[in-house]
Amino acid sequence: MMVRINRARYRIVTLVFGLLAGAWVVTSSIALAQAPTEAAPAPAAAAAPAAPPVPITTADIKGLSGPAAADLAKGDPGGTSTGTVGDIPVSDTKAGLTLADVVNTVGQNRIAANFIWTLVTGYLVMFMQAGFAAVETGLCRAKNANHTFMMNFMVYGWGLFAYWVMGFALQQGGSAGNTNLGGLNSLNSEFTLNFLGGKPWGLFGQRGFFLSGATYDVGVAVMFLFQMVFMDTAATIVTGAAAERWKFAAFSISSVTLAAITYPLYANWAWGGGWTSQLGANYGLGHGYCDFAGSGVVHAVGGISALAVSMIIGPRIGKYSRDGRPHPMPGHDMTMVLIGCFILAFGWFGFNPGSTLGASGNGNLRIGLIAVNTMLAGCTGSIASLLYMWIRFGKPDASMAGNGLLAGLVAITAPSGFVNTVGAAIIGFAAGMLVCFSVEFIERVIKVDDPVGAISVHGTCGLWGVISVGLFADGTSNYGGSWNNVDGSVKGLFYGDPSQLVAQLIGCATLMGIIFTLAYVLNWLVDVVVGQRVGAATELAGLDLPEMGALGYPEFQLVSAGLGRSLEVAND
Amino acid sequence: MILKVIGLLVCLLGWLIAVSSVEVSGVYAQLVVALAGFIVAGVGALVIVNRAHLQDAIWKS
Repeated sequence: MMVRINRARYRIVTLVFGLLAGAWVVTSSIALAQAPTEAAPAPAAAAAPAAPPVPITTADIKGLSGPAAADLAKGDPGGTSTGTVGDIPVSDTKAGLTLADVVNTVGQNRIAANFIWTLVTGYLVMFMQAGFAAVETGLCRAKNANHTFMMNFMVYGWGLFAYWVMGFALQQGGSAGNTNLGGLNSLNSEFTLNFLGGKPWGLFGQRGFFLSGATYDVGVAVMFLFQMVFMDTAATIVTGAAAERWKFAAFSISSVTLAAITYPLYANWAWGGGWTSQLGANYGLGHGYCDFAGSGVVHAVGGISALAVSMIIGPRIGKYSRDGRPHPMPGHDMTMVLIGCFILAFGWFGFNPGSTLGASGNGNLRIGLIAVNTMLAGCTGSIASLLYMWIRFGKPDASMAGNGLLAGLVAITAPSGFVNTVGAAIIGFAAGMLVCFSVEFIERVIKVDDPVGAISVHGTCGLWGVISVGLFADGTSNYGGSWNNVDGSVKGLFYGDPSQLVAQLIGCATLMGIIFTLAYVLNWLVDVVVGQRVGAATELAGLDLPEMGALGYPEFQLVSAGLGRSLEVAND
Repeated sequence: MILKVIGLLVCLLGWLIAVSSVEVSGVYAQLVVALAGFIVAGVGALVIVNRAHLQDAIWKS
């Protein structure tokens, strides 16, 4: 039970808190933008011109050899004899070691390091599915535990299949040129139309269906895995907003449409060389739409799709009384929610730093900074939400603290590769506040039922993350000297480039205008064909038995607080 | 149904307004147009489409 404090005291405390937070944001931002630069060092006295470099040749490495076989047979506890010139593959044993052998090994080692980095971070993101499942199930009632967890479980299967069939091709089919992963040169066909000013607008890719033909490639496979787990994050977001009344069949079809169509289109436009990414190259808007790891592409797409589905499906029975007043429907396991949040925070170390798609070359050593930005934003997000709830309602609410952590992580996802740690902390703090306001707005003002706050965490804070790139990007990152075919580093409004914010706002408008419409139409079709919502009797009894055929907690007798008796199974 | 269609059209209109900012001269004017487009799209979704659904909300029956 939340305790309401004296209204006047609440208003004063909230005003002071808001003013302090706002002042911190403004002064920190001004300080960031006006940070004094160090004076340029005095020029050194003119030195004698350096001798021209002498190129090394195969002759220079002739005769080099590794440890003798007899020495290797003695073992190498110190590691000094392992990893030597003897370990370099020789292409022609008759010719022996050549310079080409050495150079090829350097190249392969760089790509191998990037493959390992991208794959391992992709595995972390895949594990986030468990985190989402725990958070959503914990925030729902026990009678729906099996159903809610199964939606998060099967979204992996449905989504992966649809993405393999066509989603990846639509998204990345025209994205050849990634030097971190060996070039991905077989992904070389993008459908374009000329639009505004006769500029080419990339709309979708045309290579990579079933990963067949020339896209049966080691580099493409790495890219597929990494991009797929991001897509699945977007797909799983919708299950939270529609939980407790979504038919499993409708969820299955809806997830396939998101994986096959909705997500890949926006991801192509942002990451696959499509039109939003080229707003800079075509129209001089900063570096085009920039979204480092997917506040917009993943989280806002998921959150806005969730908004569309929640509108179509309607609120849970009992959520609103006849006068439109909302009633709380607490979840059944806060410990599951919080451990789910920790799993998500852990997985986010793959989500953001992994989006460099490599650890070697092209400025990828920024991965440590990206990870720290991620941690900081999550931290300040949870603090902001906790303090807001504590001051307003007198108790440190666990579910909002968890949602605040997630809000900060969502918001930092887009700017993580472009901002400094102060910017990251501000972005996360603002997200933690924003999610609290958004939850109340969505529940009380527009009266959309969202059992887990997915629309606020991922939709609202995803949009904030997109906008924050246009504000806080500090111009110090250097990913190979350019981004989205525009030379130089990404800079936001506070660092001197307001045009970047224009590109970000166009991205936001695309999310609300195109993606919402597309998600709404596709889910309306699902509603017409199979029906999105379960029947009333099923909803009241709980979805576990009628939809899934088994209870999530079969050894416990579930009693509805409202009915005051055991729940009965309904068949409809 | 008609209100839902109108709402979706307003969403698309908002996107068009935002995209048209590339043809506007002056970066701050572009900011205003892009922001206006974003807001119009939001109104289409959160106000018009949502209002259409609230007209026959389950809690009103």
